[in-house]
Amino acid sequence: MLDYLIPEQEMLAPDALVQQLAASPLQEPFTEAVLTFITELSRSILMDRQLRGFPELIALAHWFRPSQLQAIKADFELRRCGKIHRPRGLVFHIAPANVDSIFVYSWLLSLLAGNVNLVRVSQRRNEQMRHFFSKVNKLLRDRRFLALRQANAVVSYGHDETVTAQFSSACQMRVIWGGDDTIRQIRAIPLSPLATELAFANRFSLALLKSQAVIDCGSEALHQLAVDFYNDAFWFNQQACSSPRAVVWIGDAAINQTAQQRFWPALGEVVSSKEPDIEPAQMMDRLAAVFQYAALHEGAKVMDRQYALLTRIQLETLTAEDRNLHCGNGLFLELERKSVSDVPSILSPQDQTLIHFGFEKQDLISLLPDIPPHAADRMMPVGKALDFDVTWDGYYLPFCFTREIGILS
Amino acid sequence: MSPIDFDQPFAFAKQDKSLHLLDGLNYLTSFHAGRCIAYQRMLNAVYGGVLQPGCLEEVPYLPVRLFKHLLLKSVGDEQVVRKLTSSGTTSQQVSQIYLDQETAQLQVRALASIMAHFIGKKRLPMIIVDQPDLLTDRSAHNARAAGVLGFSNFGHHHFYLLDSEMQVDWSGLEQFLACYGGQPILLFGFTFIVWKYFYHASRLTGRKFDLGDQSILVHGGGWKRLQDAQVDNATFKQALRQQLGICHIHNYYGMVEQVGSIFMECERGWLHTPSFADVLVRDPTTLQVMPFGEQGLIQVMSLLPRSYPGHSLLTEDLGAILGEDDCPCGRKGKYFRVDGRVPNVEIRGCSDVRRI
Repeated sequence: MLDYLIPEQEMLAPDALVQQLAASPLQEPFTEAVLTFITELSRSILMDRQLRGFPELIALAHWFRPSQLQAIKADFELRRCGKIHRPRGLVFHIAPANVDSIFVYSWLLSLLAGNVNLVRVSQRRNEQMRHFFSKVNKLLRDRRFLALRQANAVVSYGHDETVTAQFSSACQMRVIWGGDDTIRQIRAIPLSPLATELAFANRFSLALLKSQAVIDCGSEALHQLAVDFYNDAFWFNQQACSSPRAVVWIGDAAINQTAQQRFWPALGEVVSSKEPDIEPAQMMDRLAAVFQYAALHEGAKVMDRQYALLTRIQLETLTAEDRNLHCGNGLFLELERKSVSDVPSILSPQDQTLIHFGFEKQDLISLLPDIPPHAADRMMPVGKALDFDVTWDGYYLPFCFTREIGILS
Repeated sequence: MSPIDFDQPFAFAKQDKSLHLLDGLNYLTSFHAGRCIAYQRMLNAVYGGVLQPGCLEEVPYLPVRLFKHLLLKSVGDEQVVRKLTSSGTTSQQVSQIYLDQETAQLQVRALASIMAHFIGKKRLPMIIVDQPDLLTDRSAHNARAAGVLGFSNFGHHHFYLLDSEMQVDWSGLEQFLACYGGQPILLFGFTFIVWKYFYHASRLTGRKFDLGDQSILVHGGGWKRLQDAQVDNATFKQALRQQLGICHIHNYYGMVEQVGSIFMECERGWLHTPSFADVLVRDPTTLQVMPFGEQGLIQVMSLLPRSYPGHSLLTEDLGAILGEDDCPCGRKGKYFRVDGRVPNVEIRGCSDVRRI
């Protein structure tokens, strides 16, 4: 019934699994055992030459390297200001259907916080994740990590709401990563009254480029900008929530046009040299989306339609429908605004990351009073859009995964 | 535009055909641009205006998938006589095609013109390899019902082979053959249904038939599920001949977005373009037109669609054009093969809204 990815060869039925997890003791946040486990996991991935071809896995292992773990711990100590934090208990993580690695961040951060974890992953999985599971399982065979083995499970199962309901009623916290429909469906399944929930929904992200700053770039700086932008946009084929899908040019019309004429060819060169994997089916998705945008927007203008690796379409506005229509694959919705103060009116609650170039921090902070709720959970410089952070969608996860205990004597 | 010549669908060689076709397609581009705002906007945004090019390769096209996402029609609601939808077994959304009287009539005439070339002008006793209860609502049809309805025009004494549970009416078949055995018989069905519910059922129940050397099967609807079962056209033909004694088998390539102007398989096994329709093959990544012989995305063009802007469509099927005007079967026009759908790839990203 349950397909166990972690621990290996486990056979427990859902109710027995819940019982075992509920009986597992919670740990203090950042115990040595957990830090050692994650450090060794990270090392085993980074040291394995066979895994060099899996950049997501390498990035993941790199993110959980020892110095980063120490930094997360130090930051946590600083933030808690001497207050006492304890883990919440059993945390039920629901991973998205098609971003393989995101559940690992969710799971390991919750583990660091001292929780017992039950993770549901989709039934579809790729080679990269199989390697990850095998590394974890190998480590869990070690007697030092026996307690972790009993306190963590990663499972998959078919569309069975009764199992999800069972896990939901047993957990102290539910974490959902997924599309809007998934989140709605899962939210309809009740939690126990004391339990809490975090939901990471589908998001959209935009790049804000200051046209004058692009014009002012020397050829080397322009190339670097293009490389950084390429990494943000094409690493997950523009399908990560944080990948820039719209580009907003800030400046006067003539300046914007000059900046576009510099930027896009520079990006085109980088894209051609990197040869991202875009399959014919993805090309068709992109092409159909381009036509749909054109049908929805009077005055839209498609640029570079026949360019194999990226397409731009110039629009006047950006609606919720436009955001939902976007399917990645190298398609950029292009808008122009005179000043950065015109940006808040474009934004919607769906917008997660503003990827910026050419602005001062003060320019960015000045946007905040006028933006809609949830909009701009992060503002990252070009090149850093996809960096995972312990604060995600506005939630500082180490606090979310713990509860603060007030003690007065 | 000049009227379509339905008398000789395979008589015109490149020179005559392409001029007439280009003329008609250019007319349809501006006709629809003036009547369908979404189409006009797409032409403006993507092609920079209402193009009237001097060659077929530059006729604007739409991705066929758009009919699943956008309501595209060039006539008022009061002129719509029928709505066609794709079967949509695998995707959640279906194509919606709105027909007016004129388009519906053109479709009937086009299909008749092509079929006459393959089965003659006389109606034949006909076996429909499907259920009789597909055609309940005459104002809306899915692709299967539209196919059955369209092809039943070429038969008489229609015998529906399957019941509503998709079981073969064996005794009905025997009675039909007792009446018409030895005469020319027309059979029509969808490729997968013929294979699974007729051929396989007869194998499983150990029944062999001889439908006679004048039996003709016309079948279409795609090979996807047969490809999954590793059945190709040659295997299909041989199996049906052996088990059921069907002698003449013609596949056709067609789609609900361009009903009527279908591409029939000739005696040599190639799909043929009639004079009022054509195909191009485009590179899947650059969208440039590819030379004959090379595999790419098939673009289909047809002079029939008057009520919706579907006269030039880029499909998601892969295939190759094999030649023009020189098929050994003697028919003029381009001939081509279809190799299947563009393979789906795994979608990555957080959005799991779209399932494939």
